[in-house]
Amino acid sequence: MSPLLTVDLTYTWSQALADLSQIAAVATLTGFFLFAIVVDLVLPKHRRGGAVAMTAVTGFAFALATAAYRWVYGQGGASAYHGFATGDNFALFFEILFATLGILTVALSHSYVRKRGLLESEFHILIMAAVIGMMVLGSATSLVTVFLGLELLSIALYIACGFVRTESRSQEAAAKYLLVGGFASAFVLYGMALIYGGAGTTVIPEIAKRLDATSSGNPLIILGIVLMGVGFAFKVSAAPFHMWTPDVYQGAPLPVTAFMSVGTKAAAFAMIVRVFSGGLPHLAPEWQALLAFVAATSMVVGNLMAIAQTSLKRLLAYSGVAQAGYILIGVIAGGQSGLSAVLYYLFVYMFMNFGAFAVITLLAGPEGDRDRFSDLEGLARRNPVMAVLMSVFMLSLAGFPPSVGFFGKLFLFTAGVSAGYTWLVVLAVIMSVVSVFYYVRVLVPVWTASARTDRVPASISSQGVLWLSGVASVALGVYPTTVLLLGQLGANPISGP
Amino acid sequence: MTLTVIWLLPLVGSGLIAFIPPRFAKWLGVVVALAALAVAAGVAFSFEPGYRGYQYSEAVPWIPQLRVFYRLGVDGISLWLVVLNAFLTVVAILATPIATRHLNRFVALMLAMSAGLAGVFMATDLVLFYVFWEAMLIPAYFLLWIFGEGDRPARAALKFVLYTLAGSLLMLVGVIGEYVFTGKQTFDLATLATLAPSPSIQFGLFSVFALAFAIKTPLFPFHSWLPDAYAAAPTPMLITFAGVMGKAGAYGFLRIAVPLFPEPVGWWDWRWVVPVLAVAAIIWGALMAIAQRDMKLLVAYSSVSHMGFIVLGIFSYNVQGQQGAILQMVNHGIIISALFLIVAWISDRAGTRDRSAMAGLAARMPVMAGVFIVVTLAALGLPGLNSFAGEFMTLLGAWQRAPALALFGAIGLVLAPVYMLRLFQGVMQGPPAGPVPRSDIYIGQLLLLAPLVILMFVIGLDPNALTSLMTSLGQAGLAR
Amino acid sequence: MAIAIFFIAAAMAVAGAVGVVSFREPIRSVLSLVVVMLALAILFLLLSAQFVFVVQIIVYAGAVMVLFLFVIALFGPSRELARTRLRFQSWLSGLFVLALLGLIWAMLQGVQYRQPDKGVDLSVFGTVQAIAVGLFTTYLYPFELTSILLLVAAIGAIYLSRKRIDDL
Repeated sequence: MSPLLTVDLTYTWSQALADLSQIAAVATLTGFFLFAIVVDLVLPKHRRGGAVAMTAVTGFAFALATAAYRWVYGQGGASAYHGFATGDNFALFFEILFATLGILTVALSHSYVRKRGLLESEFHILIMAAVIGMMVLGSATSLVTVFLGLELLSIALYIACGFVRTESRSQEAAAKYLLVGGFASAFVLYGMALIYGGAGTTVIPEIAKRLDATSSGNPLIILGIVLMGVGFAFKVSAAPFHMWTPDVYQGAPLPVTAFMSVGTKAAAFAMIVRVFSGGLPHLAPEWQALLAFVAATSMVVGNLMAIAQTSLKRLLAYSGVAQAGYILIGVIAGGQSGLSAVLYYLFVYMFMNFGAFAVITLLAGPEGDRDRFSDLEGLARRNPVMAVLMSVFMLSLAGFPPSVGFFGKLFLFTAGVSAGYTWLVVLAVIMSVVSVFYYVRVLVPVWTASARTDRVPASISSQGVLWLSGVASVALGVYPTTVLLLGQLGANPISGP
Repeated sequence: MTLTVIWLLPLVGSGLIAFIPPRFAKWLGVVVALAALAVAAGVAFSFEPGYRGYQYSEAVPWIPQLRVFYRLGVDGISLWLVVLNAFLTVVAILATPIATRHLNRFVALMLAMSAGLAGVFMATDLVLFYVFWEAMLIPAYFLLWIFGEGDRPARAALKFVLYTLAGSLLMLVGVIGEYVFTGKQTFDLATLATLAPSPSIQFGLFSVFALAFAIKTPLFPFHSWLPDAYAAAPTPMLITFAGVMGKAGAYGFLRIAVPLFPEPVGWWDWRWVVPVLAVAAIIWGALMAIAQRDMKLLVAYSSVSHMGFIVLGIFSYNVQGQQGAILQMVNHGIIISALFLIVAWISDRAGTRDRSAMAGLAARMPVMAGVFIVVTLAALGLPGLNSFAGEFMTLLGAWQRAPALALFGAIGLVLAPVYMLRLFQGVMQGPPAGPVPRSDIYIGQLLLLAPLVILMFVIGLDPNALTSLMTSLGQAGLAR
Repeated sequence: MAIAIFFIAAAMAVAGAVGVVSFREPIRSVLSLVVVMLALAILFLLLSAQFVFVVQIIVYAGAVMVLFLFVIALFGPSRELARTRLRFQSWLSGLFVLALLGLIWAMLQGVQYRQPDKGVDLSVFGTVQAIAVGLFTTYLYPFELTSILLLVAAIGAIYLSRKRIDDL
């Protein structure tokens, strides 16, 4: 029977290698992920945890090195696998970010998981899977790949949130995240389908070519933008779609919360920038209006709700909502200044936010997380180094110079004003004043004299995480130029030089 | 390099002192502060009067993407403030009692605050200025909260920080606005002084800058954080807090608000609104001081009144007024430090801060009374002591702008003796009543006050020594 | 004719979906879901997606739903507890849905679908061979990613459903 189709089925080795090198970091990490699963199966029970942790760290380090190598020596980004993935600087930036986050998470969770008696190997495997999903999201150039990366990262995180089987709060967090996350993914998918209907392709650069400014009259595209925007806002935990964030952050085990707060946010922002700024540049007025509304609401709701919180995890969850609002200003501003500011902020946000969560994680006991304000009491006496570092993280999140939080906000706000969104920047500034109140309030029990003398033990790896985050939070602020330059190079593929 | 040393040395010293045993903290702190003072004095001695532009300037690219430079420089306006800051830091650390808990942390925080203030005065790039402006709030907050007196220092500290931050974060919008709306995309103060956007944009930008500076100075009606903060602050901290930090706000007016916005006209003309507020501050501060029984609060409100003179001088837009304002900044720093020290020592010995509860202490503390009357007369503006020249020049400048301003401002001159002399007479003279002080002034405390009192006489008799160097201005836009 | 079938299938799908959430007995919910799957399969066929139509029936309605039914049967018949009364939310959601439908209807008035590219052979659309070729050439990368996704889901399912927590 003669074939119905005549298709060119050649796929030479050189093509294969070229494609693979574009997604080298993802492929490396996937290889280590599969290896970790095998290690977990083969080794005896008491050696599993440590071995899988080592594999995970090695995998992240290799992925980091691969991405860095391609950044420095690579030929630049080209589209791979028929336009579904790429290894351009934007993708490499995020791959480096996620690999670093992975290393930090493994280092932090190693002692926590043992303390609480959880299964260590599955934990690290799930984290690896989530990072793979994030990297896929960062390097995706097609709506299909974006969705798959999103789902991979989300499913791994749903399971990780419910990791503590014996704690009902954890199970509740997982169920809530699953339902809301599935709902959000459905919105995203619906929007993508409509955009596909209007553009005829799922490859994002092609969509940018096919949809010009006149498409703003096509209801398909508008509806698609709105639906995708809503779904993205859910994922990035921006108000008014942030309802799941406090409960999920509170219920999930602390290293997972720390990982989620930075990773999902960064991955979701990569997604937003890729799809909106990269794929729909001529429709900017439409999605900028939507994102401006979301940003304003996030800043107001996040900061105001954080004031009333008594749980540190919930406080940091709402603070994350507000921070998402600030970063959205940079996305709206667009251009090289706006997008480089977004990339800078996401990179340094990793250190200051993860650091804050790391301190709280180290307070946890075998029975559960301790995240009341009263658990911080007398930290200045119990562990002075941790007290100083916590102060650094809180002041950085509040935006005091010379920390990275200040410079990140400076870059974002400058881009915002340059793009004509002064009202949004004024609102952000007013809300920043409000935020200082609750960030500084966290430090009150830390430095107030108290009778507590119980030590806060910290393993070597956790101390390393704390020190690295603390030093980075100050050093990258005193000299922000390098990371900002990396952000510019990363933003180039999307915004143009 | 020289100017960098002036702020970097106290900061490095601060970092080291925080970790050494408290026994050595005070003396090491004094050594570091003296070293910084030596460098600052050296700069002042080799300063060239009449030079156009910043002297000792350093410029290093910092964030090329936004054209932000690490730029330092001194000119006639900032030179004396840098010296004042270094000098008062030495006095403040010397005045710290050895018995203070966590002395090493206290001295470290004081040095850090001093470093931040030095940076504010020396920065000639808007972003660098802003970085130092905000960064100095961190040690101030911790000092107020952890080492504060009174029953609720935490609340006073938080109020201070939030109030100040509200102004300074809005100022951030102004900083960015200057970069965006002046068309040249630069943060360099000297360049920005030559570019001026449209009056309506100037109005908006002036508003946000003026708000931040008005809160810091403090200028009526944004002064409500001051009584709580000053009441809670420990006396050594008050010396730098009241002596130097308030000047940062006035300096901001002079360095940024006046030159960069020559025509801030919108819903109203700021060039008239601010002097009126300054006069209101003079009168209001004096009236509130008259009503105070707490000696510390009395001095605090008198500070509000005196800062009003300074702002009035700045906004007279002429040479006498502005030079008088700078002179008065130095004078006020010296006088207010001496006043707060004496008030603290008296209330230490008497056991209370309420001036109506004690009388006739001069009988038991004759030397203290003697020093007190000298400082009181200096605060009043007696000719021959430093405050006279400054107040005279500011009122002269104000008269040249609008006689009504000077007339109403002079009311402050009349009210000052009311509260100052009433304080002195009420506490020191008359038949002894109330608590009996343990002892007279200690030799160490007298020696600490000596340089301050000597300076009061020196500057009073030869103010030209200071004003002669004020003719060198680093940027356009100021009256010459 | 095609329109009539579309509306019948659409009505089945909507009715089944409503049934999934409103029935109190789990077994009835699952059976409603099967109805939804079948309706979707018919809709796929209407769009000339022959392969997906068959796969939907075999895999989704056949395998996945049967697994659901097995699980329900293992747990034994049960009835959901009386739900808490929703006070105003039902009215609010009804209003919202009406508004949304109105909005969608208004927007659909001006829809412009993109015309297919010139020179594309539409007669092979949806056939097994077209899908097979696409899956291993153009869509290779998403295909492999999906396999990783399923692997992670499997790991998660095993972890979440273990009885003895400290074993394995």
